[in-house]
Amino acid sequence: MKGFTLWFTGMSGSGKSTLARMVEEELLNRGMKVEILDGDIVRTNLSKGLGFSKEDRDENIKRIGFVCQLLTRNGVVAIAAAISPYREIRDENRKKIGRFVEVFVKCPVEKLIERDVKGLYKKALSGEIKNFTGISDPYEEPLNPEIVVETDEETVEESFNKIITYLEDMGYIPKLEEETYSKEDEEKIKDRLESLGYL
Amino acid sequence: MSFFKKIFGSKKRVIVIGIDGVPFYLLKTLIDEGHLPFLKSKFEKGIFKEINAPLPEVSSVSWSTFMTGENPGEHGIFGFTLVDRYYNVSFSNFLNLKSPPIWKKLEKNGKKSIVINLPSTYPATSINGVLVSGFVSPNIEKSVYPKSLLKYLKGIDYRIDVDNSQGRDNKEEFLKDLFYTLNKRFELAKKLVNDEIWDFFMLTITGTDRLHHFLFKSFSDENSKYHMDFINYYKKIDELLGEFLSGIKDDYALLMLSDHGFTEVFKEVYINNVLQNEGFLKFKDGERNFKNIDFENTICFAMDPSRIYLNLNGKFSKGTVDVNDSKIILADIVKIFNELTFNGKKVIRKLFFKDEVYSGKCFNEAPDLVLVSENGFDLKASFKSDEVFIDTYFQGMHKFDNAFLYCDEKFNNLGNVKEVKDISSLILNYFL
Repeated sequence: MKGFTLWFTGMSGSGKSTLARMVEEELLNRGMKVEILDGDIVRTNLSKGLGFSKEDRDENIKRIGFVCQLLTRNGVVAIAAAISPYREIRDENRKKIGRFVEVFVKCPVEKLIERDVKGLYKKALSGEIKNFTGISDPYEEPLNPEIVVETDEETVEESFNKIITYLEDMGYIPKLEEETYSKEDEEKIKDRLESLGYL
Repeated sequence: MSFFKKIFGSKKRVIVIGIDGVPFYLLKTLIDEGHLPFLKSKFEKGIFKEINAPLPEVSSVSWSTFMTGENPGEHGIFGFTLVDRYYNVSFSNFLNLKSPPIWKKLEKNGKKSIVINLPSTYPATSINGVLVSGFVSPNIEKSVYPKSLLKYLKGIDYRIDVDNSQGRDNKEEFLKDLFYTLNKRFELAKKLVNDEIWDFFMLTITGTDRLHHFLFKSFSDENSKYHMDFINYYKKIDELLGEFLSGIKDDYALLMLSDHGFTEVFKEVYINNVLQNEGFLKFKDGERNFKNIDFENTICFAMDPSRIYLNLNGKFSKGTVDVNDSKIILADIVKIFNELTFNGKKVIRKLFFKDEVYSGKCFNEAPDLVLVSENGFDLKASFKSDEVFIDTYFQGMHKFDNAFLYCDEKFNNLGNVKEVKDISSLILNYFL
């Protein structure tokens, strides 16, 4: 299978990392090479020292895009999970990478404030955190994402299914293999059927 | 309004309880004798009736028929095994099913389904909801969709099936396993019914079929050491169903069914040996097994449990039978089996030609004849015995008739429902 980049974009707490991990597990089970670039983690190494100004945010996303491009070119599935709030820079990555699937992880900001799993919205609203996407900084929704998941309305499984089904249907990932039974499986089945007198 | 729009807009929910291998008469007797108070109270409303299974009457065929609403000639599952043009035999699986199961039809209209332990759904494929495959799943890792549920299943020691080898060798352990596995099945069902949003929920209990294979005579024999164990297993099902269903908001329609009937077994009957004795089937020198059949000199052979395939030119690589001769040959085979007796008792109740029971896109893959035996004669296509008739340690055998169906009063137009195949459309129509 060829590599591709699965790019999750959406506000903090919308569910990008959770979905990225689930997709990673599924793709590994299907025998694919997968690497996750999680925005929170990337900022501790690849983009260490960058802040949250527009320039720094753009630089961060460019760097993630660059790594995704290298991975994709080498047959790996690169999964990026980063807020990536600016449309222009996401689209620039799309052009560079080519095999690029954008997943818009959509959730109204009111819901995110209510969830506030990391306690960041509270801090942003009180002014303790500056330049916080959705509160004091803009988030530009994708205009034509390949996949939209609405995490305030769907269960995590529904969102996950939506992504996997799209990737299967578009041929990015293999459907479950036709060779269903290993030799060991066949022996087990034979034993089970014989034990009930069916064979 | 279109059919799909109507389904999409519906808020209705359906629960299906499959109970594998439970004959109508047995369930009715247990209810009438007061052993199953929960089911008795449920069955006071709605319809409880006998239905027929598709042929051959094994779980893989019948549940595939249930889930697709199609006959095997359309969905392509004719048994637990498949044979190809080169006589390679493989085990059928869910990916061989050529028609969509009911949850795929519902999924197109936004409906969510939970399906637990339905036989012949291995490997688990994507579903808008949850699928935990049933028999003959060899590997739990590929029996679950979505995969995230796997950890939970392993955590509760969920089991797809009991250890059936114990059914012969150690009945006490076998019974313990049956109860344990049943409890785990309901533990999972209770979790999913509460944690997930669903429109279609199906739970299949398969322990009944296993109980019947090894202990069916214990039901009629009140002196049997296992008579009360047999009844207690049903009582446990009644109790667990009561707990399970009572915990759910009462806005669902309930349907219960079995996939085939059951009866006591008297003799195993090896039909390939009949074919060999009559000169229709020949072996090369050496072992008597399927791989060693001399197909260049064989006219027909049988596959599990009672399917007879003519070795047709064109269909098989070493075919010996011209299609124009098939009617004459089939007539000979029918005559042989119609005349087969044991101690004066007729063995075969009826033989069906393929065009009597199958139609659809998989028709060419269908067996040319399917045999239905008289009660007590369990037909086998294996080569385990050189004899035609042997005694058996099994106590029960499948039968195609006397399966049961229960539908609560929310379902309409039950008059036309006579067989397992008719049930899927009954459910789809309910969602209209």
